[in-house]
Amino acid sequence: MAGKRASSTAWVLPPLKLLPGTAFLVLFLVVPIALLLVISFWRSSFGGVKVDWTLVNYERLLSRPIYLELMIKSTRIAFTATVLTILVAFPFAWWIASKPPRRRAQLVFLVLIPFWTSYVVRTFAWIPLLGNNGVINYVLLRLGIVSEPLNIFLFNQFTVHLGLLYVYLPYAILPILLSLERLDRNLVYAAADLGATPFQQLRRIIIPLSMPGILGGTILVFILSISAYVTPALLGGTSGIMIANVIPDLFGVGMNWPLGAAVSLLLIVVTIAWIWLIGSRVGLRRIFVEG
Amino acid sequence: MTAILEIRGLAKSYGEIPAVREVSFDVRRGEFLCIIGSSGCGKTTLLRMIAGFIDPSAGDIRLDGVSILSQPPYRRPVNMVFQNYALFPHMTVGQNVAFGMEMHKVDAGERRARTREVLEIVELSGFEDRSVSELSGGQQQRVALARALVLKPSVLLLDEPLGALDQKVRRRMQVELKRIHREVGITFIHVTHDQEEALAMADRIAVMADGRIEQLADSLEVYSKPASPFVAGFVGEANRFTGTVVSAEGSRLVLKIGEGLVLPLPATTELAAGMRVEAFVRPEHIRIGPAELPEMTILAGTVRDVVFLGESARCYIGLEGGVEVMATASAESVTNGEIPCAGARVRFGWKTAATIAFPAVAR
Repeated sequence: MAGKRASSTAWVLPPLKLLPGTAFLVLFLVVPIALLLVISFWRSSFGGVKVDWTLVNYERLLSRPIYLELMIKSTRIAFTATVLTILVAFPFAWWIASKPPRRRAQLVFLVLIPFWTSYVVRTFAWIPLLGNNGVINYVLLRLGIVSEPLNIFLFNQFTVHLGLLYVYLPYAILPILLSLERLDRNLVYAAADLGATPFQQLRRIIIPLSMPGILGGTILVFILSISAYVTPALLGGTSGIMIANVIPDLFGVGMNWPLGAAVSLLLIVVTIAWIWLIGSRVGLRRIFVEG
Repeated sequence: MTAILEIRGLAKSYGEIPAVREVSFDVRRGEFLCIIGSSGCGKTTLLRMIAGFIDPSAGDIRLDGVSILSQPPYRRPVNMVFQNYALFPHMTVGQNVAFGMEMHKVDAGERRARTREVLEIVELSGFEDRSVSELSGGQQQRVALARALVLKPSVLLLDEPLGALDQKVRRRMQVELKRIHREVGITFIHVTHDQEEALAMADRIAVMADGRIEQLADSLEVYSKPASPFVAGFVGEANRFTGTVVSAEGSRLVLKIGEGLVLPLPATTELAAGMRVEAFVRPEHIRIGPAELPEMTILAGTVRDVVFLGESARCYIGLEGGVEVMATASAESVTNGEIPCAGARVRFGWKTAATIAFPAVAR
């Protein structure tokens, strides 16, 4: 199949065909990152930046534990949130995939409905649900299960996980669903026929063959989670803050663009490292081209 | 011979639409049974009910006298070869073959030995570490067969296993399957829409139509003594004539198939004057040429087309009144260059006993 793709006009037109896409990427990805890189070596001065070549920002980044600790914590939150999201998304996708096509289309539609509303609004919706005067506490109080409102639901890492899971669930469901739809049901029948129990069918056939979708979803949710801004800002309180929350402060109120650039680059490097790590297990080609 | 599998009143319907209607039959221990029928006749549904993938709406399936209906597919001692093989693409040939044994907790040493043994039977020795995607269709077919056979099932179910192969490979695999069947001594139930394939391989053939079994008998009997017009038309090729029975020359009955066109009916049939009748004559029973014997049906017509088939040739002869008859010119006449040309007037005939007649059923 790869051979077939490579033939035809592949070698006649590529420079021209790739031009718009390449131009877009250069302008909006390569240039901004290059700028960040350059600025991260400049020096911050009162009310602005001084063009200079210095490692002082990276020294600060590494010497002040806050940034590294925040980076580690963000990675950890993103990791657990991603795992939880996949664990919820997989059975959900399997359930959708098992429906007849018409019903499946309706369910996919339902999965996509949340995108109609701003995710800021959707994230806010958790506050009246989980807060001290929120629905859950109200119910618990009325049922007499607690005598005082519990403040364990909101403004902590639990809430951030919940918020991330909730907002990014569709990004995991869709690629997994795509993989499962491609899975030949006869393979599952064949496994059952050969003596595999439902659990063994899942472990030996269904999961391995839907790996491209699972890893695709993992990468998407992880990238979105590790750089999450709104969710920790609204739901995280002080203990749930993540790395992306400090970057705007450095560029804004902090007026320290060079340090902000250095922290941004740290986030980019960590994110790329993770994608590379996951990708090296299956190959990104399988995930995004064939998966 | 004892029955290994007893199917009793087995039925399946999807909503109001019946796929299989109260089918009952026995499968004999060690036999090669072919279930044939056109697509949608319920043969695959029947097979999948035996495998356990489809729950029947009614009836029972007994294996060695014990109902297996309550057993999920992974507990039934039957195995299936799937139409498109359903090989696990993420496993090697060896892993595919050993998968079932692994599920049945056979230890690693025995798994290897049995894998080697079964790959030898399907003539794929040394293919253990190959990826299934680099195999040809015929080889994948053999792996699928080996994967099911290695578990030594009581009954092996084959769902159109040769359907995706090209003609030459299919012919070879038919012979192979028969050899393997003899070698392993396992009961085979083979579903196919290809009646030629069934005739080539089966000990017995079950012909299905519209969710029912029209006939279940030895291959030879199904071919030579079809139980219904459907079977006569489906298994093998046949000329079909329809007409009304009239009496002629005293007690003799003939079939009037057109203006001035009558066919003598064999004496054995229980037909009466006035009946609508469907009669079938196999093309290979028809002799083109002057030979005339007392018990023969003789007709004359014009050759319209001749199709040369290599070892034989098929002549399409037009009769008065638009009826067309298909006749096989024998290998002998082909070698002697005696195939009639298109446009030639010919006399032809067949032994009247070769005519198979049924009272016409309203369809």
